Amino acid sequence: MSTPALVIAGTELRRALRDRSLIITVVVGPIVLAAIISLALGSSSFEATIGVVDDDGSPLSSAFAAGLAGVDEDGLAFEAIDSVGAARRQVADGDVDAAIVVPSGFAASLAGTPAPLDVLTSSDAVIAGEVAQSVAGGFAARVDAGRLAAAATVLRGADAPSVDELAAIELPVTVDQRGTGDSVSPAAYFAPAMGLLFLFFAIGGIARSLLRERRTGVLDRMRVAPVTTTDILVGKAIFTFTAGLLGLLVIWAATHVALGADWGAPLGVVALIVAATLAITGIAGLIAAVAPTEQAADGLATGLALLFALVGGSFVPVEDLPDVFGALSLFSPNGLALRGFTELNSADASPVDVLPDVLALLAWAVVAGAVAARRLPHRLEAR
Amino acid sequence: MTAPAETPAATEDVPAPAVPPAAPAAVVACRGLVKAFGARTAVDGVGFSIARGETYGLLGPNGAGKTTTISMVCGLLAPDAGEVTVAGHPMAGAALAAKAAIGLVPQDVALYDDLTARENLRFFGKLQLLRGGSLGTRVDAVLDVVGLADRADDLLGTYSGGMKRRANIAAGLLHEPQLLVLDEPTVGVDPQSRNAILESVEALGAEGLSVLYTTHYMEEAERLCDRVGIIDEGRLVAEGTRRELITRVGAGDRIDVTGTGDLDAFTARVDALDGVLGTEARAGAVAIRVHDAPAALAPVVHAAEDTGVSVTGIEVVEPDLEDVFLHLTGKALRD
Repeated sequence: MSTPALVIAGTELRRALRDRSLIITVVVGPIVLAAIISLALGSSSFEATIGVVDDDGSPLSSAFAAGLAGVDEDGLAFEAIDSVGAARRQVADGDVDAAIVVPSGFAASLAGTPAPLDVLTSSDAVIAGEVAQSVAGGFAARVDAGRLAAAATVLRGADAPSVDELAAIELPVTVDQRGTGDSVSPAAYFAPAMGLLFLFFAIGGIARSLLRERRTGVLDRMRVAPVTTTDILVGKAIFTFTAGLLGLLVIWAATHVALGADWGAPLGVVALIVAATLAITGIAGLIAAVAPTEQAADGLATGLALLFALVGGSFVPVEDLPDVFGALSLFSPNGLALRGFTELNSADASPVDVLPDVLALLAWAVVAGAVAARRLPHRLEAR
Repeated sequence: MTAPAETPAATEDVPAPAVPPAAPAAVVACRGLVKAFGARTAVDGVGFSIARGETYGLLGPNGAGKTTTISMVCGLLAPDAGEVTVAGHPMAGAALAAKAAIGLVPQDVALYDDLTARENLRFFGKLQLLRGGSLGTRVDAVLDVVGLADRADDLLGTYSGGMKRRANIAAGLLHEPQLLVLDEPTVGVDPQSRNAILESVEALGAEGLSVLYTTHYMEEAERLCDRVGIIDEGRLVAEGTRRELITRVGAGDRIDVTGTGDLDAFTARVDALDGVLGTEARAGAVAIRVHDAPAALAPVVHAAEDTGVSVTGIEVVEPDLEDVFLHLTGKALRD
């Protein structure tokens, strides 16, 4: 490693540490935002109370309601409600998050056109509504299976079982909330998400400063010294990487201590942070290589920051976005990194699991860095 | 064996051949420099040399090719043709050695506002491979030279424009270069700071430092430079000392005579005098161009007396480089 490159990197780091706005952008801002989001979203575990109204009173519906009442899963509870009206009130008031209603005459309707089950939901508990819908749908599927069996029996010439006979067949209602472990606490998700976003904002300033030094003659002064253009670019890259790495490491430590955020296995976290920082360093060089002016460098960096953040899930997790974002996020350094951090929080996750994401981020670093290495020397030396 | 013929000895009647004086070693020599940017040729065949201890001025208007020329001299720009040698090292083949002899003072203040003057100088000193005690010593020394020692630990952003310019010069002196290149260092500077900068450059030149100084201010070139190269539209149109340039173009001095009486007769009489290059009649005055104003002054006054002209004012105007530039290029040095 050339001494001039280290001298340049060291001086840049000194200037950056003296620049409070940069520290706020790269470190303080992301931690504060992650804390706010974490407080707003609360615990990562899902909790819901779903009401059950048995307006039918048949053995079938009673077995269904009794089965749900016996569900005992972490965070998920079912509560019997006397009537539809009461269920509506309780959902509206937030006393329950959703409600399943077995309408009067449900069992009798199975002989003909089955009456639909009703699911009452609230916009304040969208996920609970989805769960209630799923439970009701599962029950309806089991009932349909019974009806098909009865129809098959009739076709064979036997008598169709009665509703009570059907109801006597235990249709165990089970609700298993299986955790795949793919859940990350808000702090552990949004801390790296915000860290990466703000780091992208910061690289606009880094690219701009390189172009400003070209304009003001600072680069010329360096180049008249026994310093090559390569030394200068390597020094700038070392600084960018070091600053980004330190920023993300500080965010990791601070959110772990202050917010209890668990980003995952340390080896995997470090690998992702290093790879993401390398990718961002390469992109910083790319911006400096293609932006015609300092203002354009700022604009380009901001635009890329927002684009990569949006498609990468920095604002809203990708799984909560339309399916197309799942594919788009793979083209975003933010998306790749956040996918890796999410994988680290899976059950039985190991650092090796994030290897594909790390390699994809390194590919970003190589490609962006190669373009920058090819174009930047000519840009910096041009008059 | 015959004795070898004796070499005839020099006698008092046959003077010994004269030995030409050793030419001073050039710290910079450039020849045939050409640089084009697209269809525009910014520098077209410029060549000059600067002797050790000489202050050489590159004088020309904005856009003449000064900055492009010194960029090639400093190795910041590769010429399309031509060659540059600095301190005996060719820029093309031994750039690092050549650059080590150059101290550059760019036109803008090429320093960091968020570092102190001392930190700036230490940074650029390290890039010049200065280390440890010698780095500290040189930083202190150049701060003294430019008069910033008492503000060395203040952020450059708190400096006045003139102080920043002085720090800019200091950074070019750190590694004790053989050639100091200053690119229009007084542009946009207040008169007091400008004078301070010029005094600094004069002092450095007096200490034996070779200086390449570009400017579009004639008075700076006349004050500082031993020799001046006049550059216009990428070409070096003339080169020499101030007196050589003025003489070469025959600009001559001018005597402006203001008076009353028969100015036509006076003009005719003056035209006939030796050493008079020409006259120009103006309202109530006559401008007389002469080879040598001091020598021509007395005959002009006598001519006025002889023709009955009552002289109310006489002004002697020596030609300057602006006149030279105008004569050579047909345009003014500055818009």
